Amino acid sequence: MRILVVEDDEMILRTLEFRLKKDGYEIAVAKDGKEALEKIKSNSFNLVITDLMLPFVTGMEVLSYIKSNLAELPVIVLSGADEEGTILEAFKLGADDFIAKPFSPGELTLRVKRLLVRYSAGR
Amino acid sequence: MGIFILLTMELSGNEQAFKVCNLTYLRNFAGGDEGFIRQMIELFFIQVPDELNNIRQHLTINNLSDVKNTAHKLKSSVALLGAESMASRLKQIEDLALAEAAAEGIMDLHCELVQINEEAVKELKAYLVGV
Repeated sequence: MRILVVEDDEMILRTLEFRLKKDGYEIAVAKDGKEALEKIKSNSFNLVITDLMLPFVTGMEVLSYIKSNLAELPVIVLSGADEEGTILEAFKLGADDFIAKPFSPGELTLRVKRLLVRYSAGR
Repeated sequence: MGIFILLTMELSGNEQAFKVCNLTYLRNFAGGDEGFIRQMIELFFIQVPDELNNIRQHLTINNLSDVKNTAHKLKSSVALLGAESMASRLKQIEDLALAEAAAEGIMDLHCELVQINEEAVKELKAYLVGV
């Protein structure tokens, strides 16, 4: 299973990579929204995990692109714990789940697995 | 009594008294991988001063939007090392920048953050030596 992680904060990115690789996933990384869109257009992923605050192209724009063009690609958005309004907006755009930072490793594992199982089974 | 004092004074890296940081979350996340913990601490040494410097530079040109965004991002990063006193000040900076408050208040918080970060760095360097 291939997961694209979109995050410009190096420390958060390393924690995501560490846990997801430990869980056995193949990870690709994009450090801004523009790079994320380029990778999404030229590669195949089973899941995208994206922060919302990104340089150049925002996480919302990445999410919007995916839901308009690759409806079967699930997206988990990362957010700060105090961003209720932003999270609601992301859900309106079609986000499949969200994880608040800082996240527990167990929560990350469960939410990723749950979505991948759901989408593999054809929702 | 003498033995008791000796035992309480003996601190390993894991029992080190932290005032700024708390590595509980990171240790839980690492699941025993000390290399990962070390990597994250070394990233902290690089990332935090860089972003604090960015906040200061944004503030000098009154770019409150970037002050807010930088503080917002950094808040999550320092929380990984349990630096709550830093996270709470970054939250205050975020709120002040959003409210377009006077730069002076934000600058005071920034100065506090620089000092707290110096303490954090000392603690973490001592931890790395002890590991």
